[in-house]
Formats: sequence, C-alpha cells, structure tokens
Amino acid sequence: MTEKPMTSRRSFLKAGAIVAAPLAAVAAPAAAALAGDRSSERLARIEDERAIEALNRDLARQVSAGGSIAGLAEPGLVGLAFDPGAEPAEFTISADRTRASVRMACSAEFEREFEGQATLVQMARLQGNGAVRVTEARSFVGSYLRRRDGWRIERIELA
Amino acid sequence: MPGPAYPAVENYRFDWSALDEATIRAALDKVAAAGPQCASGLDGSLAGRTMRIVADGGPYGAGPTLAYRFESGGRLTLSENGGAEIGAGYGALRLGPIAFFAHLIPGTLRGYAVALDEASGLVTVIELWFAGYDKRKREVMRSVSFGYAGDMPVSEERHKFSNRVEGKGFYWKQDGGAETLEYYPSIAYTHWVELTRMNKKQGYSAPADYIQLSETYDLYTRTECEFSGIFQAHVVDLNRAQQVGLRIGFNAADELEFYLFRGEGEWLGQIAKFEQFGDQVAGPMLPRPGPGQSAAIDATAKGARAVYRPLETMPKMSKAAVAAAVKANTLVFAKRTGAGDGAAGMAGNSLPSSGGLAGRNATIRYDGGPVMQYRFDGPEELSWRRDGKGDWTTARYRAWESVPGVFLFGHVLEGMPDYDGHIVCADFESGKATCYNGYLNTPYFANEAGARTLFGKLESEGVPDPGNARHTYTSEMLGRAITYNYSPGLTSMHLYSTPKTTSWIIFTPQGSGGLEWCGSGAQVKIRDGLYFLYWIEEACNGTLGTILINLRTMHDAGIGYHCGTEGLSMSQVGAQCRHAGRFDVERFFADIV
Repeated sequence: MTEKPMTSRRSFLKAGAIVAAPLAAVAAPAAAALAGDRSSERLARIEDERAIEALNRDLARQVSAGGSIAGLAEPGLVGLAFDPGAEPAEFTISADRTRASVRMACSAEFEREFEGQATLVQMARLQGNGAVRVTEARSFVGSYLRRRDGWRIERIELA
Repeated sequence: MPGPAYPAVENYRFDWSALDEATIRAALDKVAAAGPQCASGLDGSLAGRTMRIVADGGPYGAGPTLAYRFESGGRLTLSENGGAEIGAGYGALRLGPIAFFAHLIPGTLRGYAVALDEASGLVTVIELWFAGYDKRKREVMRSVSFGYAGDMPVSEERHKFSNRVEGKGFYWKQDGGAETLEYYPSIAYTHWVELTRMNKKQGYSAPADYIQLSETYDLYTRTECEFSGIFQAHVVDLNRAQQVGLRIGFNAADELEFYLFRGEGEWLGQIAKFEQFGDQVAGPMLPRPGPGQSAAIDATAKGARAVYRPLETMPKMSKAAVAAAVKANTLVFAKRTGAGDGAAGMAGNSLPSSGGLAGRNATIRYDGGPVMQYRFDGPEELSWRRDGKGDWTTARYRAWESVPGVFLFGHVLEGMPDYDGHIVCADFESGKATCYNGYLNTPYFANEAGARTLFGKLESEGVPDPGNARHTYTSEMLGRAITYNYSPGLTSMHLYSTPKTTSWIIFTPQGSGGLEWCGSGAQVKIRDGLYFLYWIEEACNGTLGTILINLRTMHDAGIGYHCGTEGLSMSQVGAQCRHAGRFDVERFFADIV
C-alpha cells in the first residue's frame, strides 16, 4: 500500500473552490475539460477528505457534549476543537482509498480533579471547585478505514 | 470549660462548652423581656409607631411578615405571619436613615435583627436562633431575607447581597470599649483581630454576610463558628466609618452577650478584587457535601451557609500514632500521588530546584540554638551533624535559589525525638541564616506541627562574617495580601493580618474570595523585597507552611512539613504571586513586631 501525502489544506481549499460549483454538473463541458488533468482523482480525494473531516467534527462535538469515545484514553477530556483555518500537518490517503491518516493541531480541554489533601485543596472542594479545566494544545492523530458504507475511524489519539 | 469572658488562649485552643438548649433558653429568658441594652444609650424614636414588614424574598426564599407595634419603655408587640401578638423588649439605634433594631421572642430560642431604610422603605430581616447546628447548639444561626415596610412595596428594588465590601478593611471601636480590626477579603467570610478583648497577635476567621442597603450603607454579619458561636451584625456607613449593630451569643464564660453598639472606625484600605470587571457576584456561600459538612446538609434549608469546620475534620493523632506513622512512612521531597500526600498541585508553579549547594560545606550557628554542620554531597543529598557531636547523618534535601546567593533548603533530622525538620534560608552573600524548625508532638495534637524561629550566622568558604547582624522579624509584610497560584485552578490569597497571623482565602472559580481560615505564623525579612514566612495550619491540618517570597519577581519557593495518618512529609510548594494590596495596620502592632 502506498500512501500519498495530500495537498495542503490551503491548496485543498483552492481545489474545493474550483470544483464546488461543477460538482452538481460533472458531465458539463467544464468538468469534461478538467478530466484531462486527473480531476476525477482529485475530486475523489476531496470527497475523502471532506468525509474524514466530517468524522472529526462529529467526534469533537461528541466529546464536547460529554460523550465518551471508545479507544481514546484521555482521562478528563471534556472538549475538543479544531481550528477551522488551520492546515493539517499531515493528511495521507492510500492510493486504493481504503486507509487514511491525519495529524492536525487541536485544542483539548481537560477537567482535572485536584489531588491530595492539602488544606487549600480541601477548602476548594468544600466550596465547589474541586476540579479545574485546562486547555492544552495537542496534536490530533487519527487513522481511518474505508468500508463499503464510507469512512470510519480506526484509531485516534491526542499526542 | 467556662473561664474569662474572652480566652487567654487562642479561640481555636479554647474548650468551648457544649451548652444545651435548656441552658441557652434560661439565659435568653432572662433578657428577652428587657431587650438588648447599649452602652451609649438606645434610640427611642420608634416608640409609638406601628410597622408591617414583608420579607418577600432572599437567598432562602420569602421570609416572614412581621407586624410590629413599638411602645414606650423599650417594649414592642409582634405578630409573626399573622399569628398571635407577643410582647418583647427591644433595642434600636439609628445610623443616618437606617433604623436598626433587635429583639428576642420570649419563651423561644429565636429573635430578629432588622435594618429598615426609612428613606427607601426597604428592609433586611435577619432571623436568629440557637440550637440550629446540632453539634454546637451555642452557635447562632441566621437567615437573611429582604423586603419592604408598609402595606405595599414602594418598588421592586430590594436590599441585596453584594461583593462591594470585598477587599475592604476597618478598625472599629465600639461604645463599650471593644476594639477590633476587621478585614473583609471574601464575599462569604471575614477575618478579624480582637485588639482589646484578646491577645491581638492572633486573628480569626468566620463566615459572614455582606448586604448592600444603599449606596452609602451596608450590613455585615459575622458568626464566630467553631469558636464561641457569637453572632454580630452591624450597619456600616462606608464613608463616615460609623457603625451600629448587635452582638448576641455566649462568650467563653458562657455568659450571654446581648447588646447593641455604636462604633467609630478608621479606614484601613482596599485591596484588589479578582472577579471579572463588572462582576458583582455575591454570597451567601451555600454548603456542599464535603469534609465537615455531610451530605445530610441541605443547601436549600433556611439559613444554610458554607462553614469551614477544620477542627471537626482534622485527624487528631496521639504521640504513639505519630511515631508509628513516621516510622512507616517518611517522605522527603518525594513525588507522591493519591490521597494524603498533602502537596499535590501545590508545587505546580514552583521555582526549579537548584543544585547550587552541591559540593559546598557550611556551618550555621543559631543564636540560642544548635550548631548545624552541613556537607552538601549532591543536589539532593546532604550530610548533617548537630553541635559537632556524633556521626554525620545523610538526608535528602532540596534547595531553591530565590535570589542569587540566597538559598531555601529543607531536610528532616532523622533520629530526633520530635521528628524535627529544618527549613533554612541561607544568604551566602551576607552570612545570615534563618531556620524555621518544625517539630511534632505538640501539646494539642501530636501530629500538629510546631515551629521555632532560629536566627543565626552562616559560615562557609567565601562567605563574609555578619558579626552580630541577623535576619529580623519585619513589619514590611504586615497588612499585605498576596495571591498564590500554585497550579491551574488552585489559588489562594494570604492576608498577613497581624505580625503573627497568616490568613488564607480560597478563591471561587469566579475569582471571588470564598472560604477563609488562619493560623499563627512569622514574617522575617531576608533582604529588601525578599521575605521568609511561615504559618501553621493550627487545629486545621497541622501543616507547617514556609515560603520565601520574592516581591520583585512575585515568585516564591516554599516547603511544607506535614504529618498525618499517611506519615511525615516534607514537600515542595511554589506559586506565581500577585500583590493584592496592603492594609494600613502597622500602627496597631508597633509593640509586637
């Protein structure tokens, strides 16, 4: 299996902008004109990227809504957000379009309970602030599998 | 046990009687008919008036409807919530437009204090009762409600809890002669110093209410929970520094104090507040299940309030238990996790430790104390010998160099009968050294730390002889309030309210001052802007806390010395600091700094 490094998000967005309108009219002369420069391959790649991005957005929403994510061993994780303007550091899709991986910056919010029995900690707990929320800049690393019904998350971690 | 009206020992050392309801009722019955007196005379201007007070809201929901008829001779009749009329003695005072009056309800353990703003027609009603806290029936309970006087409300405005008094401080002298310093660093707690009734070296902390009556007037309450249980409330004119108020409760002699007072004050200052700009978040702080407040406590109950009850929660150990715990587990600067470590999170913002002492030898000669010889074998191991006798003992230590040439280091003295720890500030440029010598087996609870302050001279290669010069106690920290952020979300503020007291205030997530407590301590100047402080969490947690705070960098290095059921520990503490301001109180302590 070979893996191709994908275009940067910025170039991807450019391409997306180019193909956004023709999507509904792929048989139109303009789309046909693009066929000569491997536009169908590029279009497929864009579709894959969008599908994976949608998976990541759903995942972030699920985390922030308090849901637990199977396989994501990050105790206290209560929030996950991607900068919509940021470019993925890495976005690869296998040539046969069955596997993909992403590495991108994210901000992860954790709720950490105060540890110990120091007086300050005891008093803080007593007045209701027994934990603190901290936001950390992390790298979101995901791998994905394409099944018959579409892309699925295979594994994710916050590096 | 009953003794003098105000104890000769600290409030938290006094054995307060467990008064029962019958005793309390008998004492109240003796004064209910006469009402409270006032050393400077009561105000009689309410006589002849009738008044209907409707307390239609407040933190605990609607309060009572009270129908008063004020008669001559300090008598009134009252109908509560349309009930039968009862007679009682009352006392009233005025401060500007505020009429403040109080009375008991004969035959009960209850009474009222009322602040009526005659200019606005708005009223704050404080219902008071004894025996509401089953473990300490002498503790006065209170419930605050707001409303109006008259048949109909004049507006939708009401008095309200407010944070505007937060950060202020006053000196007060009452007409009966009592003088206090009162600090208001929280929206739910207060700290005060008895200047005349008790030894002024030690301040105390207690739950409080802060209620705004108008632009000029506020109402403050304090209940001396954990101690006498006495309740005090006063209306304060913030501009003129005048007060009128009530004091009710049983003192250390188990005598009922029930009187109104006038007072004149002096402004001590305003320290910073840490809520968001525009945030007027206010109390009362309601109880939550936790140490000292069981899940049975109903936060919605009338008069519910958060009370920090450290005496109830502190593990109290015998000498034998301490010996066993220390033998089983003595951890010096070891990273520990889980319950009982006493320091998790308290070192998150510490200075990096220093290896600058490694390879050096030093002798510290403490005045009237030991001669300590040191060989700093490495960055975390030293050898010590006391008074030039016996074998050298190796010990684990850590050091921090707060200012070039000034080190804080600490170690436990293995083999000492009271498990001494030495926490030393050594100035290798001046040749001065000061030690906070922590020890256990103290008289009240064996696991509670004690501390001796040892001043001395440091001898080491290249270090000048300071002669008779030593570090000294200082008043330069007195009155200051400094915040300590130990790690994300863990921030407290120290208030150095007397030369021998450190009070600590825990911030709420909104940045308001919340729960507060205090203990004894000391303040020593090392250099300009560099101070070596300790406090003991007495009758609380038993920890000896020490910090070397650099007011130039606003960063501290510190060491905690603690013994509990989990063993003896010496641990690193450190915080990023902010200077919240300073109260002008030096003049009250010129004789004891």
